[in-house]
Amino acid sequence: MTENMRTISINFCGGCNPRIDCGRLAAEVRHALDKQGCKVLVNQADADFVVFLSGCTANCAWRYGDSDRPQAIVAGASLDSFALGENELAAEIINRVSDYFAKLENHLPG
Amino acid sequence: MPMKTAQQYEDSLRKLKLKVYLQGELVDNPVDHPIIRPSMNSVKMTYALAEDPQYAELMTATSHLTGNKINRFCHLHRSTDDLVKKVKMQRLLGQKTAACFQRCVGMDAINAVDSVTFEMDKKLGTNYHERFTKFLLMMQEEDLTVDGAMTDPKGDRGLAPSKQDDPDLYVHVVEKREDGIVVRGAKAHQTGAVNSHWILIMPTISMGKDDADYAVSFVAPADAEGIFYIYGRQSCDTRKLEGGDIDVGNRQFGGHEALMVFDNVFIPWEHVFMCGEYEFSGLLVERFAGYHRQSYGGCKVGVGDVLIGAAALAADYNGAHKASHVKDKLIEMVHLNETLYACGIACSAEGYKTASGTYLIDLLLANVCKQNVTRFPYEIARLAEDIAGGLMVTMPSEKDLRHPEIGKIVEKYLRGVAGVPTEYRMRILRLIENLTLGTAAVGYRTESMHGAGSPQAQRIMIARQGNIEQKKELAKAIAGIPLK
Repeated sequence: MTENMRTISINFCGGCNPRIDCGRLAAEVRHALDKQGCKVLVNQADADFVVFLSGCTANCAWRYGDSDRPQAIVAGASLDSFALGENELAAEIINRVSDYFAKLENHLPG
Repeated sequence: MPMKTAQQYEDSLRKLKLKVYLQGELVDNPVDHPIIRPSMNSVKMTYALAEDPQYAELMTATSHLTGNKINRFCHLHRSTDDLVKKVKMQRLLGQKTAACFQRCVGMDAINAVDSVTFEMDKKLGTNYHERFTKFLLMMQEEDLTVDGAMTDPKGDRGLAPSKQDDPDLYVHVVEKREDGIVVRGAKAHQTGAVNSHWILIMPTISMGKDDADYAVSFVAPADAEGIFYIYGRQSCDTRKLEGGDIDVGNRQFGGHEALMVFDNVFIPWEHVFMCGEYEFSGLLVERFAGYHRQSYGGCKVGVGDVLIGAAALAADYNGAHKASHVKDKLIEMVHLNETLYACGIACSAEGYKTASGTYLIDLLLANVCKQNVTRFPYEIARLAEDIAGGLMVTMPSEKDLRHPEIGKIVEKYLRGVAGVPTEYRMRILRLIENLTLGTAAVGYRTESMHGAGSPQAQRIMIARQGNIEQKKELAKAIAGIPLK
């Protein structure tokens, strides 16, 4: 682990009545990002990138979260308000994170 | 001090010297007693989930006293968001335990006592709120489970506390000393009492001047000298002594109630939050009951989620899942369950700030919530029994299934659809039995009826807050009748 390692935080909603399997999704995302050399945290508002992970459309992770960091918002089977199949979410989140850091490294607008 | 882990909670209970009677015997070790243990596991889950980052948003909060992260059960609601999160946390815990997890009464008690002692001090010049805040700080720092105890045995319901034949039928002050008070009496139906570190006592009804000795609120360690407990029976409770894990329905979790007796218990002044201020007893009852009626819009919904899931599985295992009437019954169960949840969320979202800064729910909506809870779980249970079929109450025991000879017969004749082991079918039917008429029915059915006040108590509050006169004026305006 280096000091410059990218940090990504998965911020959970609390999970009262989830319509997607947040635990499994978080584990998939964590596994993939770990392999990319990122440091995956939980419930941290000041990570380099924050994935708000809510089990339903009430979107509590984002609603009660407080972060101005670049972010992706999962609310039930949706990513940033676009409906997706549950099994598509992990790949889309990983793409979103990877794209962000790639643009950052190439000094492109995010 | 950080929050307790689940294991630390269990270890802390072992250090208590509780005096608990169960079926006529003094219990040596309540934590490991097979009848009590599942209820301890339910409270333990309130600690376990708080350790899990996935549930932290609901299970934890930031203390307004210290800024520290604390278990939400020790938190005073500082916003309507807090009230909403409380309901969501309760739904979550209901889902994870399929039982009463018992810690809500303490949370509802501290929130009610906070605002009432604050307002009492402002009006009467007392210093109860400061004492209460010191206790709350300890509760938060040590992550304590506190049993909020309100319901007295009440004796003759037609008589006030001071008019009863036996003066002990309501908890009352028998002696005032320089250093504190001595109390005697009992509290009935005390949820989670045996799994609590401390108890918070409140009066149970509005009181008049003659009842001043009964207008008393205080905290005490659960194992204080002079306090003892007589554990409540539950339907099918001795199945837990049989050693199997199918017939109990829910092997791991449960709830409990106990009769809590005060035999001349000394309470130092620093732990007394009301002593004779009878004019505030009604306000304390109203606020505690309001919070607790909100609670049922979360916890019962979570248990309902499990029951609906169990009914759906029973339909699958019976091969009836494609029948339109079964689908429709499951839809009805979801509709009823979500209606309860909607009420819990609504009374929270419409909450407001009291003088102490603690938020209170909308009392009308909280009472509507609980009034629905006195009905809907019964209908959900009825539909679950309908879908499950009669085998739920007629099937042989786990011992028969395990028997070297007749086990094969049970296996053969109790099978449902191919591919699903008979044991699975038996397990899901026993879970439905547990929730609808076994040990968990105490929490899911009768507690839904009488817990936090019987149905008529909510109707009185709805009548008070329903604003019928304003509705008449609306009707007059529309109908063209002159207004007042």
